[in-house]
Amino acid sequence: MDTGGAAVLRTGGSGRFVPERVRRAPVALVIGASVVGVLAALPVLYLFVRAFEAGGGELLETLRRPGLLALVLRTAALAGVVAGASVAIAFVLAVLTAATDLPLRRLSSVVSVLPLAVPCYVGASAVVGLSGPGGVFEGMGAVHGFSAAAIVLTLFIFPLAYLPLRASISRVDPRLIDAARSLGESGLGATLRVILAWSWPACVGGGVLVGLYTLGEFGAVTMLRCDTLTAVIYEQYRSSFSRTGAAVSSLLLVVLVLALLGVGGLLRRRGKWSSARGSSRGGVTLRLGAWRWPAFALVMLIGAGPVLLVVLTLLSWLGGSGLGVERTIGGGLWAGAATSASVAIAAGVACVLMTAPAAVLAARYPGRVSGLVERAVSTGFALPGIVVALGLAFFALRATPFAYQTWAMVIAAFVVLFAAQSLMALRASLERSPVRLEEAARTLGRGPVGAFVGVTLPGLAPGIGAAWVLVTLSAMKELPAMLLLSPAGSVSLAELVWSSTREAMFASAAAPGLALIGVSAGLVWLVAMREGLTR
Amino acid sequence: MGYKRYAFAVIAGIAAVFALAMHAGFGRAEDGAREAASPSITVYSGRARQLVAPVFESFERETGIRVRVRYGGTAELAALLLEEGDRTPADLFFAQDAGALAAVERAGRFRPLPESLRRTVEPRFVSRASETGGGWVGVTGRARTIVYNTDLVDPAALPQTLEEVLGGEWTGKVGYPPTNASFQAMVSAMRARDGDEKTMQWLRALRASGAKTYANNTETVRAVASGEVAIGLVNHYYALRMLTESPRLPIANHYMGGDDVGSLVNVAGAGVMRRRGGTDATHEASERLIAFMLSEQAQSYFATETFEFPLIAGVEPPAGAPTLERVGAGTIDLGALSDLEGTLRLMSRAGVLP
Repeated sequence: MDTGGAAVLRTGGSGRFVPERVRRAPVALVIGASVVGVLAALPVLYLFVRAFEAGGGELLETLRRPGLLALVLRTAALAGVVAGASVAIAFVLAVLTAATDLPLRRLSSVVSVLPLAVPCYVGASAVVGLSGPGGVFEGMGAVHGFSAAAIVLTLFIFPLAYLPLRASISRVDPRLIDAARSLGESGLGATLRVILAWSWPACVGGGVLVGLYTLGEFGAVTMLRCDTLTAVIYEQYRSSFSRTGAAVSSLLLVVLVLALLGVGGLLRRRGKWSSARGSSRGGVTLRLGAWRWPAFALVMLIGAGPVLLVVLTLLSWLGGSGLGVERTIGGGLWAGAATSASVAIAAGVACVLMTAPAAVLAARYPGRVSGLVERAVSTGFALPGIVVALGLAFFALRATPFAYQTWAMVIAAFVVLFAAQSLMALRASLERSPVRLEEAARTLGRGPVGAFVGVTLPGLAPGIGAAWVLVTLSAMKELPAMLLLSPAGSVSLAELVWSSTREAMFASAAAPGLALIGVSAGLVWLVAMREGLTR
Repeated sequence: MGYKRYAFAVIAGIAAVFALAMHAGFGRAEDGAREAASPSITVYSGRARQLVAPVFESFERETGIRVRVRYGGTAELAALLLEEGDRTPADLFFAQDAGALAAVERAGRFRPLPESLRRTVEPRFVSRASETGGGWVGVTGRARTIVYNTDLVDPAALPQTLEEVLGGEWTGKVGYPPTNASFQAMVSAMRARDGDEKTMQWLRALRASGAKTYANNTETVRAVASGEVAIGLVNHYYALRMLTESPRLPIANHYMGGDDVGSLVNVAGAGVMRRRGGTDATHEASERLIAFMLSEQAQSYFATETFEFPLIAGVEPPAGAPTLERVGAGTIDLGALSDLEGTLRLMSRAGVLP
């Protein structure tokens, strides 16, 4: 029996498995993983073409733009603040819903993911509407700027960090807490420290994902007047029509992405002593005692509060005037809902299938290829939608003109934009399924393929639902790529919401906005019920 | 357990693929059947579906020509058109401002328009002769205006020129949207008329007078309605539209007369694309669509439903607005508004843009 390619692992003193030497990944796996990496790298390639086509002059001029440094720092600060705040909120909710005797835990878990159903631009326009004339917060002054953007983004995207954290915390090894107690540490503080240490990789992973999202966010930051690099990129497309300046700014954004991934890597290593280990059972249940119901109220407040506020605002717009409502309800609303849902569902499936090889590679054979693929898909996630759309248009018009502006192309764009979320969820799931099972299978005489199909693939299963729901929700809400790449004549919910709010026809934005939130919330519910999310 | 999860994902996937296939398949069958009878054209519309879809629908009904529309932001669609070059599937570009039309024209992407179409509207709303030979024509007019709070401001005291907005009793009471395309077009017009030096002085004085900035026209009008500021520099149709949604808002428009750029009239307009797949039939169909948008029927739709100024003679202006002749800035060449980059640089040196 050939054991040459198999890993030789030794058990460290801590019980942790340390690869003795890097194993060589199967060629098919490397190729499969590279497909998504190459696809996600296409927009960056396009950016290089556009940034350098006009010679170095315009490039230098863009880099010398006054206030550029402040802009880059503000963008980085916003990403950092939103990531930090999101992880903090997500940690509290994950502990409450996964490691305590909180009442109605299933409901609480679903509610903690609910904010993802609200597109950030809808959240922002509701906040702006509420603070405007006739709004609930009228007279508090205009809500805008850095802190407003940070708060709105945190409230609506922290579930990106909650999902991996919850999965991690629900598998905390109870023996660690016993050990901490036996060493004289006592009380809640010690338990929380152990949980934090245990879930540290998930904290960092979730934080990086939120940070990447914030870098590429456009709708909410412009609506709340917080200038970021992405807002400036859109501004450049609008003002110069030359595309070179926008390409240079986009490359700066790519530098920020790499920096963020670097910081993530450093933070992850700092917590290495507690790195996640395969443990198929586990979990702890802290007794909340008298705090059970107040804690439940807190979860509802954070998870459902902002969503409810947005829904009520939309309802008041809907009821505020009959004008324009029947126009959108009559035309396009149902077609838009059907299109949005089916494209988003298909994009979710495509993303899961395409990132699965990359996830296996990253979890089992970490190395140069998996690192490059991770960077490529992270860049795709952080680049503004218009950059990804124009980049794919550039290549499709030259290489595959027959596919230009078809649904296949929209789905390809969604894979580029959202593969990072799918990769994160699948990889986390694999890392929780012990490597030694595969090794055992190999030792017991299964070939590499047999071990893969019998042991590795089932290890992916718990992450599939989370990966799919993350991508599908993002695809439902996505705007620029959908607008530029979908077949002419099609209609989507996101477009209906956007075109109404753009023209300040809030009454007609309300119906498609509510439909978008409704369909998304339905998806969250469906997956939460089927998946391990609630266990 | 694991199988159940797989089954769920697989079923969802199959359902989605099936739904898409149905979608695509039906779309294609329908196309084929109709195309045999009459041509179909693709429009890139930088104007929102809610505003213009009914016009396209009545055109389809009247002519039997099928119109496939891609809705998007005017700037994004212009960027896409430039990226696509002559490979574009678009037959016609319907844009929200003259600046984007001029940029697409400069890149040589528009075909020449027949003289009969160009003569339908006043010469100031048509592209001038250019090297590329292509051109566009205005469809509706959008005026800059001063929106004021009727509870706070005596209409007799309103400024008559943009110079009068600076300082004095208006200190700290003016709102404006510096990042808004129409405001920037107005600054471009000021540059074309007065030169960069004077424009810079005006922008600096505006900032020094404590004028407040807002994200867009809508926010500016809302701020005027709530009394946060007394007057706002915006496009004319936002107040008209908001008043139909909430008639009790204390706002009204004030148009500056004479030649002041404070009442600059910009246009939404359209041009026919040069493209590889274009045929005489698609070119003719596209020109027919433009002619239809300039018909009395479509023009009065725009006036009553989108509150924009009709550009052909004999159609009433939107309710509550004067006729176009009484709105100023008749001598500005809209083609001169395309140096947006220069305007943005000037605005950022003046400190009104970050």
